[in-house]
Amino acid sequence: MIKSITRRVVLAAAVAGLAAPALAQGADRGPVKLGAVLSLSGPAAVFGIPERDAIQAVLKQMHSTTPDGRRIDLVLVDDKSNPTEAARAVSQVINNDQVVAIIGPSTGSGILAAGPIAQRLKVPLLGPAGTLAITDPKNEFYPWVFRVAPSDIVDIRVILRDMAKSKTKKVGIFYQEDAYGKTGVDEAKIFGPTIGLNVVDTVSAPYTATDLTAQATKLRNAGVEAVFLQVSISALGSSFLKAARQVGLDVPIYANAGLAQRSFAENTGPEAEGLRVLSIGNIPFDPVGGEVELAKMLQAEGKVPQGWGELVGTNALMAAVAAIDAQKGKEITGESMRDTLETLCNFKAYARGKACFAKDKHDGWGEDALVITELRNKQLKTLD
Amino acid sequence: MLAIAEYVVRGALSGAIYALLAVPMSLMFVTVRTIDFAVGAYALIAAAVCWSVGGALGLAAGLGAAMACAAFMAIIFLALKRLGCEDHIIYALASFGLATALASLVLWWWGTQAFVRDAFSDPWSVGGIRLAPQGVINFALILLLVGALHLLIQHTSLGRMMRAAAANQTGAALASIPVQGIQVGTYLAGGLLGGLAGLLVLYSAGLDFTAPLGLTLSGFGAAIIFGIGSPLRGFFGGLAMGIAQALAAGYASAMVAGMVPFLFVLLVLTTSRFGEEALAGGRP
Amino acid sequence: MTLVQTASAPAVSARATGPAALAAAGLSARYGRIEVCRDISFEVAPGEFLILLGANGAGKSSLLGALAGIVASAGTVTVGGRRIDGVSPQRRAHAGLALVPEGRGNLFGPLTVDENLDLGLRHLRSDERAGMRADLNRLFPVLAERGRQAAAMLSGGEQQMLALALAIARRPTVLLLDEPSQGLAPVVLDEIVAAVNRLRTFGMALIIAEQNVRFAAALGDRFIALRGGEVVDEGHPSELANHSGTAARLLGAAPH
Ligand SMILES: Nc1ncnc2c1ncn2[C@@H]1O[C@H](COP(=O)(O)OP(=O)(O)OP(=O)(O)O)[C@@H](O)[C@H]1O
Ligand SMILES: [Mg+2]
Repeated sequence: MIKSITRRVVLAAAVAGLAAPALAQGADRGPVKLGAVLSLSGPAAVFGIPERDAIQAVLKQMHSTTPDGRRIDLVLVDDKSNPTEAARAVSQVINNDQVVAIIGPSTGSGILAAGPIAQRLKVPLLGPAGTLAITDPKNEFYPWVFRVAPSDIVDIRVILRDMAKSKTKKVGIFYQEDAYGKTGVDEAKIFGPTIGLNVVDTVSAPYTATDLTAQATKLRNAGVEAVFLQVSISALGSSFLKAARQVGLDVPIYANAGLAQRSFAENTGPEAEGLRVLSIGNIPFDPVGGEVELAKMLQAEGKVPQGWGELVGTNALMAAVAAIDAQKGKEITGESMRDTLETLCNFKAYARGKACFAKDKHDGWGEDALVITELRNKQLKTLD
Repeated sequence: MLAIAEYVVRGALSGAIYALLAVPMSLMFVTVRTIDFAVGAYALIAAAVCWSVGGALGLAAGLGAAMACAAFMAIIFLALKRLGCEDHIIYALASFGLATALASLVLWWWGTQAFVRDAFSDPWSVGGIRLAPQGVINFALILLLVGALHLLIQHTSLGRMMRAAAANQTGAALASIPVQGIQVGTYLAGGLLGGLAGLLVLYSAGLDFTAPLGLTLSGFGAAIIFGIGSPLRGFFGGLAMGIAQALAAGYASAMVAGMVPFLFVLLVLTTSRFGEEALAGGRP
Repeated sequence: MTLVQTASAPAVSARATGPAALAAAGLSARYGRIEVCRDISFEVAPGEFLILLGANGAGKSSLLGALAGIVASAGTVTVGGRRIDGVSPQRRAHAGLALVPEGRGNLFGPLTVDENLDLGLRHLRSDERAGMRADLNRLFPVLAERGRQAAAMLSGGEQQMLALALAIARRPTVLLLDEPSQGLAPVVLDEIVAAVNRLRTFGMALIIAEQNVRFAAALGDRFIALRGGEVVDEGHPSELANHSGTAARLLGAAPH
């Protein structure tokens, strides 16, 4: 009797012993691999490095485990601010590391270069860039790219709305000579008139322009009541501000989110005082809600918040985390991540505003993620 | 009418910087028959170092850093010569490589930030046109410098040797003129003048790591437009470029404006009698 | 320092007993890997005028270039007894060697006549310059008139005068002249012959590369002949004038 009981126990133990590893290997127990292809060197590193720092700080806080208990392994690669490198890195982390979703690449051009690869290898990209084209429904790879920041068009609308509040009618635009600059002008010309704003003059400069007084003079002569800087290069921004002050162009000047950086705020001179800058949240100078939490995590890691790179980076991470937990008990693949991302709404992230994706809506964040700030005393103060 | 005058004045003031960059370009072209593409990068290095150090010491440190980079370029040049390379395209490519490396260095160390400093806060009003004092100072300084250089080259024994080495290197060697020394000196002068241009830009419009190529090409355009043989012509070339740019920004539609200066250079080169001379290196 | 490797003894012996103005021993010249002159040895006494005869491509210019340091070379060269091989053209010029290359290649075309001459005169002590300039003006009166004109704007003959003046302005020990007759009309040639002969008053040694036999015969005290980069003959210029066959053999062309 005793013997047979013992035998049964031994048998049961043996069965359990055989079954246990099988269970551990099961769909919902092993770590999930996430890729992060970010610009850690090169010109876009101003965004890529804060993105990385914030992602790492949040993962550390979470002990690399989702609220639902799933382990996350992050595979980090530098795309060197180079689209070719970005495409190469994306295929590398999918093929070699079997990641199921990728945060990045950091730049719009990087995402556009990597899109077809993501499509072919069936792994979604969570792009932290505003570039309109990355979520254009006409893209063949459209299903595989999700935007985790407000788009450039949303940025422009928010700026124009703020201008319209103060009875401004005539707007002048200074833009950098590239696709980003052109997008701003085109959208302002379409959207402006719908809220009573007319773009009366536009001037531009290549990245390397050294003197912008002629451009500022032209806007002054056109009698503009407000100026909008569609530039992402801080040297162009500060150069224009100096020129405006010099030629007596004394009207409110707004800048797009490219200048919402700690380094810009701290390094410009008195000519930038009063500049209004659009920003995604305001962790460096005026954090609220989730931004306060994120700022604390960063400080705990000895990092100083730089701008909004931290927010868009963690937006991508939190979208991936939400998608993983939404697939409780299922096997997680690139395809299942993609399908789940399209169903996510109102999940936890650190940026303000409500985030939602849908089948025909791959831009997760909208106007409510944005704030207008004013540069005062080398700080960007949020206006309300 | 006043509007045109204003664009012309502004263009001339900003063109002075191109004029300053044109000087080392034309010196380099006549003495070594090559282009030092790193001149714009010397400007960036000077600005970045000066910005970081600050004050009068910053100015000296900036110029010193630019000169050090130019000395490095001179060493590359000598090494290439030692290896038996007499190909002037190779010297130009080497300088291009150095320019890229210096810009990357600045990007790595300082990031994408703009380097800007202010010496004066209130603009001057001259005949109804508001001008930044720094711009006027830049113009005066550059005019003085180019004038002094012109005198040096035309009327001193050193200048005579430089012109001789430029006109006929073998003849210069036979006349005991230290040709190689003059060439190295020209590289160093490129560092000094490029660095000075960088400091002047730092105190006026400001610049960032993307600036070198644009500065180099503007300087080169200014140098060739009226014939590359003389710094005085480079000075006027620089002013012409600046004025063309300002008028284009003022009157042409935005997308075309960027091309105007280059179209202007092309037009001058193809139509003027200076064109042939420019290509022949200004030899009579 | 004596020359050992020539086939026969010099036809005209050195006039002075001190060191030779210039001596070459075992000299070769090359462009890259191609050797164009081989094992050349000769001496020139102070004040002696030596003609270097040879047809086109015989290696005359290469030999002069090797002496002056602008063509790669091996072997020893001394000027006034001091070794100068292996040093830069600049140092050789300081040691007392001057070269007027083919086509007046020592001139600086865009510079004025005065500026060209000043470049030559700058090596003299400052108190000697005015005297030398006066001497040059006496030797080449035309240069005094054209002082402010660019060298490139002078006629061929005038340029040759300027090239000579520039080369001798610093009082070299040895002057190397590469085909001064090249491209000049017969009338002008006579002027050049006269000018070169007046150089004797300066006491310098002279080596003239030539293929114009009559011109050479009018100038030299002695000749050596080059063919295929090697010394094939030497002698007195009178041999050239008397036996036109010699010239034909040396130059590989019919006499005229
Ligand atoms: N720069 C050069 N590179 C290669 N070979 C050369 C060069 N210059 C001359 N040569 C060659 O060296 C040889 C001697 O040329 P060199 O000019 O010394 O002759 P030359 O006697 O002065 O002739 P000429 O009377 O035509 O001036 C020729 O075979 C020539 O082809
Ligand atoms: Mg010859």
